[in-house]
Amino acid sequence: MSAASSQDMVRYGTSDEVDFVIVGSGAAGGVLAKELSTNGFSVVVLEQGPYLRPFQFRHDEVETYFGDGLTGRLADHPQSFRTTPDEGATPSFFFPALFYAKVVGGSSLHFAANYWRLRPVDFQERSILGSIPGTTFADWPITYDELEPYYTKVDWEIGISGEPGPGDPPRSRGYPVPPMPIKSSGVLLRDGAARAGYTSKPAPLAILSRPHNGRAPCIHCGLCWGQPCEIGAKSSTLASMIPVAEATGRCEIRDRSTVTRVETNASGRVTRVVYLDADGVEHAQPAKAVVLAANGAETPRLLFLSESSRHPDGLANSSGYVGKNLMFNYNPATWARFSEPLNEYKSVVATRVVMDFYETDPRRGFYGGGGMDARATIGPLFWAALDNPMPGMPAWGPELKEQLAAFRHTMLVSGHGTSLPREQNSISLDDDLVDAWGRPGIRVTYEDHPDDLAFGTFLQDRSVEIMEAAGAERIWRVPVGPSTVAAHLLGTCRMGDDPDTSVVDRYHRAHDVPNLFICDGSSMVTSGRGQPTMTIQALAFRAADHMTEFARRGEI
Amino acid sequence: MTTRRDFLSTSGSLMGGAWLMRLSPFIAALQACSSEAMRDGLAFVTFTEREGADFDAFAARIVPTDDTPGAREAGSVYFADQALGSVLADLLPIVRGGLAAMDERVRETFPDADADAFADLPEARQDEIITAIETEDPGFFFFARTLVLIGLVGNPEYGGNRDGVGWALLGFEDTYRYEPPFGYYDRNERGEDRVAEGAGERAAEPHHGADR
Repeated sequence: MSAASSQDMVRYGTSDEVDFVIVGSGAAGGVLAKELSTNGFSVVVLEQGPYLRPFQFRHDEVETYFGDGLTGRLADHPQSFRTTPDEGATPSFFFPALFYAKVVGGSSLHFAANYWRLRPVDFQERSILGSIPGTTFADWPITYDELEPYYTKVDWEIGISGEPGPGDPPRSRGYPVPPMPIKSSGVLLRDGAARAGYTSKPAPLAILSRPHNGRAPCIHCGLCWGQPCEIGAKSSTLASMIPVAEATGRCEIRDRSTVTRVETNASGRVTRVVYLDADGVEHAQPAKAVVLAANGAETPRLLFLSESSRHPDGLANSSGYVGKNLMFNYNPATWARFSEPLNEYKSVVATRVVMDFYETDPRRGFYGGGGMDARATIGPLFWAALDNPMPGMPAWGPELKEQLAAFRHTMLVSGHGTSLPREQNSISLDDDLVDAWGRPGIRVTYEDHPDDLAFGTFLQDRSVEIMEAAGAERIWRVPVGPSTVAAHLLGTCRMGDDPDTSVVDRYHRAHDVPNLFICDGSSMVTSGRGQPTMTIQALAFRAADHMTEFARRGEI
Repeated sequence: MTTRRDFLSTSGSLMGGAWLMRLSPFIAALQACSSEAMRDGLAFVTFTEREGADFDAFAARIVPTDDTPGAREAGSVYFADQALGSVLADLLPIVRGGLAAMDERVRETFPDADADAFADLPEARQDEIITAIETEDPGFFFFARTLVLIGLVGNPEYGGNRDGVGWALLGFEDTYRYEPPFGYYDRNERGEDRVAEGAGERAAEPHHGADR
């Protein structure tokens, strides 16, 4: 294990100008903190959530989904949702529209750990397929080949288990550890797919099957999704990156620090980051450069909150694209019940994937591609309370009890597909809501493109076909319909070469602000096929390399 | 293991009798809340007695008792009672209003009956009432039903899932540490998907070859 846990981390004063302030410690922020601090820079990471230690992690779905959990209290973090910009937004109640963790390590603590690379086609799909009316569908400013070395860094430094399979993009190095042991759901997906004429491969996961980088392997506890890993086998940035960053003696993780504003000076440069500590006392941390890695909702909110006379529509927003082009990834879901027990509550979420439908096929008549995995539900409580009744089944009485009793026999085929970027889908400020720190709430505007739903139906049809071939006794389709909740928050500060249609350049530097960088899910130009974290982290490793070069050349 | 009696007698000897006397109302309340008393339908902290009885009767129709325990035996009502007074207090107005409306509906639907509360109705009439509120008061139905199910399957320290009866219904073992094979369909899996026993640190060598 890293020695960081046994030594005090460095503390900077708010009168010290550090090299970088990073806002957010999640999938991207954790990588940036580790890379920039190991490259010799002084770094302060501001994280709104608490710094929890593995001994504080419990197997408790009540706390996770209905208590404070990792996501914080909804009342403290109000959100609202509407379908189109001309509607009034409805405040979220009981369950948030956007589900993300507010804790050191961010949503990498609670993700399901599916780690898919994008493929070369994802970066150039607009050129291949042409424009799509009503969307801002565009090529990325970078290619798969430029990102490939950084995907490999993710494999080895974050810690990914897996095995190459059919249709995989080229890779320069193998996986560091083999796939997790296959579960019954994986066997059924694999064999059903084979009988139906499709291929499958082991699911690549950010979960260690064997010791790696001094970290312990998985004990198959079964509560990965939504829960932090007390073993450190799940490759959160808390387990993989932050200990390395702290061990440099140059990186301070400042938790319970809620950023209210990024300040700029008369020459348009970022000077300091204003935040509230756990007691609500305001501080400001000066920095030579600021990196926003707060996620695809929090990052645009912060840019809007940082408006000034020089940046009247929000910082870095001369394009008007801050907050726009929000993409969720469409997820069709299909339940299947088998005669014998699967015991899907054991071990990791998914062990097998089918990627045969990755590419857009113009013969289908709509845009879209993706893959599917075989998985457990989230956990016994989530399943009993929120997944049941199965679609079309009675919600109470003996029939509900029979469904609950079939828990061990039930599995989910989870589809993961594209979302097209649309300007009207956005994150904006909701001035009718005020969070616990006095900031306006987050307003979500989202309507799936018809092609996203059409592909969702296509993928569900294939899921049904595969489950039938696997011998399922019963199959239930969760109706394909509008997305109203999401965990993937993509595209809201997209990268591009043209300052009129993008927020950051190909190096994640804001077009409008030379010493402001933005790197998280908001950077993505297209949605990929449904598992964005690996790409977010590859982008972060790459961005850190370029920031390091710029800083060393005095170009920040 | 230290019993509560041991703890109290030790505390008494250390702190003196007066200190213990001051605690006696608190201890009496704790005893009233002990699981045996709660099984008898006493001592709600948030619900009134009538609300508690109605919710418990509702829970017993959502996940009924047959040859295996249901939501009543799991103590879902005690989970709801605790949660609505604390972590899920936002839901209290919905549940409280819904329970009152449910009793109002009982009186309107069955004016000839002796019962004026849902809990006093025979099961068949309770089912008629639930069938109506499922469509006519869906917000209350959803949240009350969700509370029943969290109380059935949530961790027992929140007051429900007594003796693990909810987990037993699902067939869930709460050991949180398992070994392959996990289920029937992976029982014969061997080889590349299976991590070998005793595999050590092999990070220096890629496990699987690069393809370029």
